[in-house]
Amino acid sequence: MKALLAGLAAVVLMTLPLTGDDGGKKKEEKKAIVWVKVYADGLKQAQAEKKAILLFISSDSYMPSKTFQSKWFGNADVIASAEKVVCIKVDSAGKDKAVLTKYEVKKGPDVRFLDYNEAQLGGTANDIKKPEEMVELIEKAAQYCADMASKIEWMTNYDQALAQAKEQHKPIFVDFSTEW
Amino acid sequence: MESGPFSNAQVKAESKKFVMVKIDGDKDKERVQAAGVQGYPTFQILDPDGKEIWKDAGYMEVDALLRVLADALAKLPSPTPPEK
Repeated sequence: MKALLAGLAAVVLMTLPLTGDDGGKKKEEKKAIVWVKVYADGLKQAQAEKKAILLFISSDSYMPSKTFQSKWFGNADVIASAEKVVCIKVDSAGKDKAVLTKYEVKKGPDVRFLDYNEAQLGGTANDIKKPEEMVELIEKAAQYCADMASKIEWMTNYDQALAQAKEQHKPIFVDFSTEW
Repeated sequence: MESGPFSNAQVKAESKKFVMVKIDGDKDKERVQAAGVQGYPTFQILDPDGKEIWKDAGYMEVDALLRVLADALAKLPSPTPPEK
């Protein structure tokens, strides 16, 4: 009898989380861009997912950066589009100084797009005037990387290919051809 | 822009399972000689250690290429477990 009661209690406990919510009414969460805060992590994610990178260099303690962020990255359409890319936010007052040097940015705000191999796509997006322009740039970068990912990535250095094949335990396909 | 069988979506997808290398026969004579290439195009598949498992010359249709890629993957030895 004791065992039966214990079993029943376990069943009741297991079902509690299912029936104990707010009656199916879920709170609508306000969406926001999910920023990767470490550049190297964002790059790794972009490479793994073959996605473009939206790189935002700014400092939260600097008013123009805060204004820029809320103006462009608080927009619902921009937030929706940003899901198609990896969004990296580097704090210009933080430790990641190498990123600032690499992109020659002092404080920001600075926005630019990169492909998943870290090549910059076009110029910066610092002078946009409307959220639609930001959406357009995000969509363009996302599409560029989608096209890039669907292409065959031919290597031309045999030794590098061999090293990569060994590391990834992949076979090598070699196409010997000529321009002619 | 890819051409021939390499523009096929299925071939593109399968190619992700390989390290794809393009050797320009006019520029890399040494590699061409080492692989025993007699004419162009020549295709070769090597295992991850660089050992040849297949080679053929001449244009390939998509179906034939897909078969070759699948066969090569099937022949691929399992990775050696790391030594304890």
